[in-house]
Amino acid sequence: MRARWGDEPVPAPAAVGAGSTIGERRIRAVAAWRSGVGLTLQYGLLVVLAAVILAPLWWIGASSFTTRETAWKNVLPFTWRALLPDEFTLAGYRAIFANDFGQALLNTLFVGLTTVVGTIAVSATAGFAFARFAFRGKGPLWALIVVSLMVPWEATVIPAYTLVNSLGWLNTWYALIVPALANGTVVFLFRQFFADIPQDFLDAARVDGASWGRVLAGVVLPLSKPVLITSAILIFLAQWNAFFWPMLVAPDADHRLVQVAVSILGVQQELRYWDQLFAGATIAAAVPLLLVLPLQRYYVGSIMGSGIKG
Amino acid sequence: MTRDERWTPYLFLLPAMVLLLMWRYIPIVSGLRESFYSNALSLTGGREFVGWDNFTRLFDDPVFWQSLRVTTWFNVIVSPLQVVLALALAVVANQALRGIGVFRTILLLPVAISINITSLAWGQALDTNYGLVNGLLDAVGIARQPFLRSVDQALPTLVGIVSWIGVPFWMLFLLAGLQGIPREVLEAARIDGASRWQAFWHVTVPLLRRTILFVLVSDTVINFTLFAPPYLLTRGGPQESTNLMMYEAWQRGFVYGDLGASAAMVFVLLLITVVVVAVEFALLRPRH
Amino acid sequence: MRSRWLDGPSLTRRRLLQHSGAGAAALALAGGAAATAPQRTAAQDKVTLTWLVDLPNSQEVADRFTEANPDIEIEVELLTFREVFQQNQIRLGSKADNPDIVSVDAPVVASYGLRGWLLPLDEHIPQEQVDAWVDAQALSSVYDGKRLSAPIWNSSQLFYYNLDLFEAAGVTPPGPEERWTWDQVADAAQRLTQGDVFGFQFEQYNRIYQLQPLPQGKGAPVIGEDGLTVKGIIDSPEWIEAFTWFGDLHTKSKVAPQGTVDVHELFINQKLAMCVRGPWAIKSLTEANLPFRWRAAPHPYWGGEIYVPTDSWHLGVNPNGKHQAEAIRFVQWSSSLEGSRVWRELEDIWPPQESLLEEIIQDPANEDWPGRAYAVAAAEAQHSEPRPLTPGYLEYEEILSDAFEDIRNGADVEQALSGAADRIDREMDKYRT
Repeated sequence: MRARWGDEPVPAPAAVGAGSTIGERRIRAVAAWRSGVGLTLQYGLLVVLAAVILAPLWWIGASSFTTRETAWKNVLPFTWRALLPDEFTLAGYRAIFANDFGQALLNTLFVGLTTVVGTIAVSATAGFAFARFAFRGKGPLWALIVVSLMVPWEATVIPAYTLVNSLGWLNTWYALIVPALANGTVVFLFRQFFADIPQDFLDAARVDGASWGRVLAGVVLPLSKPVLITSAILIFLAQWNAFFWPMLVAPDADHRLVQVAVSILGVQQELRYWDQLFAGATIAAAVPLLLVLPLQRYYVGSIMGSGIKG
Repeated sequence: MTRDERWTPYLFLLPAMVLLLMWRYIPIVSGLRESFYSNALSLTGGREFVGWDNFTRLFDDPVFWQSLRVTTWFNVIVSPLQVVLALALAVVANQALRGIGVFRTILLLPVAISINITSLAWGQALDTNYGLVNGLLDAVGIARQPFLRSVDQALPTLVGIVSWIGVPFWMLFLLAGLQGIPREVLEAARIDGASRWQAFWHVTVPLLRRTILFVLVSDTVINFTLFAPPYLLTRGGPQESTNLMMYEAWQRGFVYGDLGASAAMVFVLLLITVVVVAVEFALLRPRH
Repeated sequence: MRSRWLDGPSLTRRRLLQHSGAGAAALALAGGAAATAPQRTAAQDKVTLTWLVDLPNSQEVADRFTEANPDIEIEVELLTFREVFQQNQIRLGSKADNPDIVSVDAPVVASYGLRGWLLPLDEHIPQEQVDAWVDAQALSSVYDGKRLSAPIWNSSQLFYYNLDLFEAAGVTPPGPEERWTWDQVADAAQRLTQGDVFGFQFEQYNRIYQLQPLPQGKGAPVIGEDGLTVKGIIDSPEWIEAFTWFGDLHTKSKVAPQGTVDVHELFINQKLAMCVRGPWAIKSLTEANLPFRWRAAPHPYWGGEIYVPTDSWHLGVNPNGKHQAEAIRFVQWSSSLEGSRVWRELEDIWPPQESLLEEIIQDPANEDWPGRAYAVAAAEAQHSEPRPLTPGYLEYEEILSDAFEDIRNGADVEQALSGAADRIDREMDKYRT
């Protein structure tokens, strides 16, 4: 699979001996040329792709450091200055932090972390039950988990809102956290991971007389760092990037989450304070990146686990 | 098993199942019920059993059919396109090239960024007046394009923006799948005289079938119910050319206050999604 | 109706104080206690009202009310214009008790009234207070014979232009009392459009709000007499003529920018020579300390009848709210002379009272530019014309918006308008019983 376009394997150094014929040399030269072209093509493709991914992000970041008046100056007609702040300033950042943006960040941090802990608590236990027990109704219950993955959340927003409202949860932390705890994906991830833990570990603990709860907390979870990290990232990202639901159930300033805050930054009808909007967007994008990049090994790793077995 | 043992799994399952029932299944069922109960003025409080009324109203409405058409076109293109591109990208990212790690990291960026920031970024970049992309086109002497402002270009542009997130995201799954294929299997195929393309097509793809199915089905579900991009970028226009069903359902429910029609539309959309997913399963199920 | 200054001190101070709340709520949640919004310690014996609005300094205005009425505190939820509508739909529609004070755009009063989302205020607002409002605003606040809302604002549109660009292009601009015709605007726009400078644009180029004078000035109604039917009305020859003119600005003479346009941004960067905007622009233009001279003139017309868009936010009371009496007091105060002065001082919005508008015209501070623009705007209020009064205004506006966008993008005008008419009529069906 590797080196698909790399064509002929590069000859080992030992093979390039003095005794090789001209013909052999020519073959090797052609091979080297062809693999050179292949490499150039591959790198060219990678650079273009990277540029497509980075350009809009870069532009938002750069624009966040310029003044509101100059944000558009260099775009049409285009000059390369558009990619660098025209007049470097932190005014946009100062303005949004003077306007409660910091509060929205703290709110989101709080909601995100609480949801991570809560979701993992209920999902790990459920995943453990599915992975390690045989019981009546297991098949249908598992089907409920899988089917829940198939129905998009947007399709149920109105009734879910009605439910939140009838519970009196509008503009409370409950409205933001509790519905998010129902997360079939995370149950799924834990079940897949737990299924692979050798039975011996569990048996040994059970022989020592530990309850199943203690086995889960004391033996299984410490072995489950990868799936814990992946789940935590998935859950936290979902809350960090949530927009529609928080806007619906808790838009007041006391409970405002970051994406909602960004959406109203500097937007007042026809007038936009672009520097503020870009500053907010930059922070809103930077936080999950700072989280995901150092942990990408885990993130990618256990997506692998779920994807293949799914 | 002791008596205690028998109840353990149920106890373990209880919190998750209760939450799932309450926040996923009850809303699903009551949403579907709503389509038979709310009339067009449901928000006045008038709620009664109206049978198929909401559905017949919907089917009489050319806007619904246009929305269905747009949703169909969008989905015919977007999910297969994303899966194919994601697979190609996974193959590239799976190369043992110097610096590939940096590239994989860059690929992760869109995955972590929210759809509304993405929409903001691309909406601005593609803007007719001040967009970065039109600035670049100008600089190299190509005519400015209207992108989201044109009946012909808006939907393809939307496909592109959605794929900016979708392709790298699904690539992760396919890359994971590729890395799970033992090298020996492919080497054996090559020794037997298969070309790279043959090896890819006859060995790699069949081995990836389950992952591809998973990705395709998940992607289909997400794209059929896409809401944020039309909401944030095009408001369904121009000339209803990006009026995806989920957005139209939202308009009816939340802007026009017609919850019945909104719920009926979601019902139809879910039905279509289920059928499409079933077809995908039938076509791609691993055969043994 | 719209507002734009986020640079004010706005909602910061108090929010930060309250906001040791996040941690407290976390503890409460962990302990299983009710995780409702953190209570203000000082507010135990007070009633706290909730209010959704998009005017940035609303909290300041509300605080001013609290100073005089210490038993009532108001908590402002600041949202964007579009979100205020959506939240109203969702919350009032599901009979939530929040918000107590409802921000309702004048043309939507009928829609909310029909749905029972607004408490009748007839007994609570003194007749002399109502009489002080300009007629259009008083008219908008009534539906089905009941007064359901009270205006806190008034708006009239002005014609703004960049004097430097006019001089550079050798075009003679209109004087402060000279009303140009739309044809004069189009001609000047043609001559002012040069390089990356556009000649003219409406600030709200896709909303009936600012575009209404185009067909109206040609003598056409904007909705049928039943307040519902639009077929044959919004696709009449006058409408087609008016919007062909509008479309041509974008697609033929190309003097008006297409796509998403930030008119303020273009104007202050001298990339737009003329625009129609509300009186709210005066403050932001003055404060921007622009390197060029800008001027304002009366709103253009076709040469016959004069129509100037008006309307603005009204306030109403949620009939499901828990503190209706207190909410009524705030609504009453907000739309009184006293309240209007506070709004004008803190938010620079236009008072709905004729007497206050007169004060602005007479104010000696407004004899020179840029203050002169205030006087021009206040004088325009006499021509103000409300938007169609219909329970289906939201549908009407939304669908027309899409049609206007399509026309800007070069769609066939007749087709776009007649398509919109069909669509609106279909949505209006539900109000026909």
